[in-house]
Amino acid sequence: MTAFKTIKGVPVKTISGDRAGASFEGQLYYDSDGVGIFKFVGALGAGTWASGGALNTARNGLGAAQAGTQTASLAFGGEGGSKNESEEYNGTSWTEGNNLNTARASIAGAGTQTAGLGFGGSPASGGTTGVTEEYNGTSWSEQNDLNSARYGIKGGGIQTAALAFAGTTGGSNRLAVTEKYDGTSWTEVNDLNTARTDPGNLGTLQTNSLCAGGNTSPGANYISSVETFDGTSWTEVANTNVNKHGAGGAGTSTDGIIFGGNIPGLQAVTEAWNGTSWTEVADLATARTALAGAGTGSSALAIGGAQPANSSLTEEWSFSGISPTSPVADYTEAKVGQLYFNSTSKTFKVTYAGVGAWASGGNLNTARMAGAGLGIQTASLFVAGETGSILGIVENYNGTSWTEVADINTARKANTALGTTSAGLTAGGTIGPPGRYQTLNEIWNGSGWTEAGDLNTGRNSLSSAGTTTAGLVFSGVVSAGESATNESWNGSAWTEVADLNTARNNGTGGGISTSAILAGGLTTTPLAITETWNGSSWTEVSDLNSARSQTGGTAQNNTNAIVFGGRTPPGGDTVNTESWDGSSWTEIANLATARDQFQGSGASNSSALAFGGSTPPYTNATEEWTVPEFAIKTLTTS
Amino acid sequence: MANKYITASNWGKDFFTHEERTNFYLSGQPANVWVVGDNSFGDAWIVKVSGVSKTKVEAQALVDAEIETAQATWDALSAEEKENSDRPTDITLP
Repeated sequence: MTAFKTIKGVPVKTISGDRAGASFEGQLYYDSDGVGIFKFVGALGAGTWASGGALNTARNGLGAAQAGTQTASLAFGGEGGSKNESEEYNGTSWTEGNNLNTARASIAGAGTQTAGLGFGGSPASGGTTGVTEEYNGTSWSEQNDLNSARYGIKGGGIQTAALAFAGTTGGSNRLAVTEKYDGTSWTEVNDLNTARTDPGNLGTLQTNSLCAGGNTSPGANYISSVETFDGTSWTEVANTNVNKHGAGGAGTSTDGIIFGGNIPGLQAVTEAWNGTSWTEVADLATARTALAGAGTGSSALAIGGAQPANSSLTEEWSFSGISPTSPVADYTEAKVGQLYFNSTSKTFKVTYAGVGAWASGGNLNTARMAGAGLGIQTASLFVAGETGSILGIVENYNGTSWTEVADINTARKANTALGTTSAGLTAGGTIGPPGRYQTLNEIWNGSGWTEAGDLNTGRNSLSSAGTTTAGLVFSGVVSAGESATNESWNGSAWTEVADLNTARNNGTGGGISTSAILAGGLTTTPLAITETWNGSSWTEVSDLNSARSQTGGTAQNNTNAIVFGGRTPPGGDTVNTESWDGSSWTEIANLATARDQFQGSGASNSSALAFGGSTPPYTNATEEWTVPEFAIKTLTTS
Repeated sequence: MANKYITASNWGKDFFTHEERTNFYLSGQPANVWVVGDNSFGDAWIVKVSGVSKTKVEAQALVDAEIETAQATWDALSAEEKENSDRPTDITLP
């Protein structure tokens, strides 16, 4: 047998027992003690905290734009005398901006750096406040108050769809009260199961919030109980490993981290949540409580806090390895580029960056084209369409198969759809001729369709983005030709907002109401034009590599999108798929089957679904696009 | 690149997987025609889906017939109905 060292030229050390410690990190060795396997020393796939720029005003009990990012964050209010200072972070340093109108401590935050929200807290005069303020990137303006004034409150979501929960009005009082903000006013919804104050919190959306720990009565009655909110109600899930009180958090109810806090005793502990369980990961450099958080489970900020003195510290969390949300059977903590020895197969393996590909999904029950799609890869709706006649059929995909659900009230085709399989919307379309330019709008509640406020501009072949409480529809065909019209939906009515630069129909649109994209489409010929929406206006950005219309596609926001298939000039369908990273389109792996007038859904350019369409004729085929976070290759001598 | 031509009915989930798509060329066409890259992975997939082997000429004829039917259907649409779709175009197999 050939010796390993003659192949590689480097001997592998034989060690009895385990090695540990930073000085051994990166070493591969053979453990001769009993089990006799190769081992690798390293903090595999672990995230780390690095120091960031210091706040200008040290404080604790501050709020942050929970849906902000590591490089675009907002911190405001806080204790150390009730404070009104507001600061913006650019990934390097904090800059003072315009102050809150109402100074206060123990304030909660939501939104982003350019569309932030602060609510609740304890003002300088003492007691509680329900004051809500919106930040537009420049200044704060007062809005309608919370129904339940309180401090020790936490929140999440975006400026037009935020969530407030927990808190206290003082003394032994602890609140389970939960309220939803729609951009105008707060509405009380289902309570937390356990009343508490000062929990840790996650949530970039109303529908992906999490409440961890907190204090249930005066004194050190800190808990580890965790609940997640799905947009309607709170559900108890697995407890954190360590009690939490005053912890910060970043991410969502399926992928996030909670850090710091008081259990009692100041904590540096960070716990990662994968939607199922908590795992202790790397500690903060500086233990503290009453700090704020922002960002995601893999890229977060820990801001300020009490050490116990007011802290100006910022720490930045980066996770370069594989997310705990994506375990694989034979290596759950892999980092791209790592070599390891699999003791079961007795082979060396290496991890490398995942490569996206389309795989077949479950077939539709009714082959058809020109309907509308919404949802994510594992939970989508195909709404209406045609097979020669116009249909009201709706099918639901669960990641494996399609099931027919309740029809829409008015059969149509060339409509658009947005939202999720539990809260969706379909608007516009054609029912004729006659009736080619529909204003019809129907809302899906997970089991049935209800007619809601009509569009201002009837049209077909339109695109959309957002949710059933903060939506957007744009482009399409009106009687005069292609349309640039853009309408915003607030859950009850449509309002015209800034038009597209290029009128067109049959493009791929997606994203959220404050960050959307429209790619391609049709005038007299398929287009490559791409425009992005920032919440107030459309800007033309880099073209698609291949002009096309009647495409499938989806977008997470205006920096993350995917377009696939469609009709290309001078005619003919394409399998071509392109991915958008916020600055340019990159061609990636092709669909298996070229098609047009089909539907797409998905969460991002890493996970999407293509279904139906014309190949021709009408097809029932579904394809699933997935970019794995990493792949594993077994090393051989060949 | 040499290709093979088969007919096979797409049964849906796992008819082709992500791993298979990275191992060989695969292109679905009208009339259940599939163009398959000529390597061992492609051969294994043809066995898996019980593919019926065709010559390129036979496969092209199947596709042409499907397209001609679709073109005739489109031609019969009213002018208004035609505004919402394009006439199906001919496909030449790779």
